[in-house]
Amino acid sequence: MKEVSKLKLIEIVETVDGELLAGENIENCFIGKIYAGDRISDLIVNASGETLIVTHINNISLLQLLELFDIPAVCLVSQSYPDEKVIDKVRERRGVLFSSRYDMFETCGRIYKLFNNTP
Amino acid sequence: MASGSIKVEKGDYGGGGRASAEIKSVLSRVGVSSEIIKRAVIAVFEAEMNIIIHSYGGQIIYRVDEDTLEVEAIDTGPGIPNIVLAMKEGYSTAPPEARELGYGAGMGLPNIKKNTDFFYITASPKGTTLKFHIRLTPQENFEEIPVKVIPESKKCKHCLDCIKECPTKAIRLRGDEVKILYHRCVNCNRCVEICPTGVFDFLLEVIQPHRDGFLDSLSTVIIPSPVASKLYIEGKWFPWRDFMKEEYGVEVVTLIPWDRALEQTVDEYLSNSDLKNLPVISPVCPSVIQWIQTEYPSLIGYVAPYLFSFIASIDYYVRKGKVLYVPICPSQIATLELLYKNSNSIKLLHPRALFDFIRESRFESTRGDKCISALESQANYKYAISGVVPVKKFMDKLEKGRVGKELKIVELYACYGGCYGFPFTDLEPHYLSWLMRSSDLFDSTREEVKTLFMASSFKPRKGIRLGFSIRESLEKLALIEDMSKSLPGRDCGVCGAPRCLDFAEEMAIYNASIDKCPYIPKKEKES
Ligand code: SF4
Ligand code: SF4
Repeated sequence: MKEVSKLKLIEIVETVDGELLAGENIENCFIGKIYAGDRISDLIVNASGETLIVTHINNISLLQLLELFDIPAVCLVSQSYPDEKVIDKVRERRGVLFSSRYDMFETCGRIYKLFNNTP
Repeated sequence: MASGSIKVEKGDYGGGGRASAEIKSVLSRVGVSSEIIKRAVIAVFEAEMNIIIHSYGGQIIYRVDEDTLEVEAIDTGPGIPNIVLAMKEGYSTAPPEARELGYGAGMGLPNIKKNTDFFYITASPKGTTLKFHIRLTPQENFEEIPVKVIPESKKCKHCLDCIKECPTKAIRLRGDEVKILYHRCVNCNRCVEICPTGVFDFLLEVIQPHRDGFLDSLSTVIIPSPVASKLYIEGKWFPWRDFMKEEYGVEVVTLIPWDRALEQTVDEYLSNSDLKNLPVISPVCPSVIQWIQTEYPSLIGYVAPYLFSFIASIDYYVRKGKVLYVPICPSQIATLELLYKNSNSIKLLHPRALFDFIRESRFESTRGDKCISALESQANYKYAISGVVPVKKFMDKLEKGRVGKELKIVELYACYGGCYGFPFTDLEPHYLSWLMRSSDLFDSTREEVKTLFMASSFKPRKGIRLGFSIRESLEKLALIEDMSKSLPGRDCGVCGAPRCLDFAEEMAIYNASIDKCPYIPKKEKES
């Protein structure tokens, strides 16, 4: 988990060559925290209303997480795409969902680097 | 108060989260803080997923009152084969389809435990029940323990026995008033037992159960074994159980199987865990646990995190209908109050009231001739009693003819723990005795465990704050120390406090007058 003081979401999307699946006007979106993981039990404990989640989970479980824990943004890895249903739901909630071109390791590495270069 | 119940289907991965969403919305509408809502949502969500992944289906029931969220997650089986393992982080028996969805991290039960203030599981092949409480107002990590003993000051003859005998020094005599300090009393029964004039009693009304409508719509009466032993009258067992069934349609049960289940479960706990704190203290007496919470918080980790057997039993029978329980000590009443404060399904009856009732039912009943004699099979049952206080108690009772001839052999030891407690060793005598016998260990086959139960660990008790701010408390502390220097240090008790130090506290906090001390010369008092 990485705690950061207000990061620009658009920069993250760019650094992972992300494809935006849901979310509008993300130029003005900021997040405060990033958590990467694939176990629901970890995600629910570590995510909050300002967390970007980086995960492989792209199924219905993801929906429940978004709903219950007010997660604003999710980054899927390895160019994976969820069901239309999931995408719709994220849109409905005005959340942000994007898919990274890279695998988990590379994605996290790039995001990590981005923050460590930000003064 | 708000409440609801939500059905949860087996394997319905997509439907998981419904109960948590409902509870979340209730809590946000009543204005609970977001951190607490998050804890609740995590716990309920994990409980829901548990039912979906591991059971044949079930339901989530919740209740919200002004300070607590109470949740029960009940399923219909097949139970948890090994609760101790299930509580371990990372241990999971989830099927592959659940793992594919991101479940089965083996964090479910540990997550619930971490995010709740009170939590327990009971499991049998017929189903698993998780129950937890979350406090809705921010709580320090302390437990408030209710005190369920009440003094009747006007009966007091000022013998001072109680202030000396109370194990936690919780009693004060302030003028004509007998006062129990509510942050110190551990509901142990000692004062009830020792006071020669019967000043102390359980804080429980003595009513006549059959007159006051207490037995109406009741399904089970649970009596602890010591209470059940009152059915042994004039050398025979009175079949009160049959009487109650016929007259009132009520089932009477004892705690004996539950006590056994606890024994077995604690054994299991011992063999499945890599425990740091040994020996494990088995939670058999709530008063001892409250004592640990009050004066020995460093020992909390030694207590096996299981439900008291009387609670496990009540919890089981209350699912079948209204339960009447006969508590045998104030600590049981206090525990019940903490866990079931909102329940109308549990009634408590003062043991004295029950005894009167039994006597009356025997009188009315035609069953007198059906009384059964005691078994002779335990002919050589041997009992060891150790420590001067218990031994004196035994001899007093023997002298008064209160020990039956069925008890064939007793071993009486003046030293606590028997000869191993002789004064020139500082090792605990039971440990010493074990050490000497450990070469002689034998295997005993255990019955199948029928019911398992595990609860969250206990928390230390909230102590008293001397003042409103830390600064004020420190000042008071200094004052107490100062005042105790002016007292003679004889701890005589005449002032109404057990020790001079306690009296200094009485003076500093409650403005007690130094005049009460008989050792301070008059002229000094005036200066
Ligand atoms: S034991 Fe305590 S309460 Fe009872 S008579 Fe003596 S001083 Fe009074
Ligand atoms: S019940 Fe026990 S702890 Fe409480 S006041 Fe009486 S003797 Fe003291």
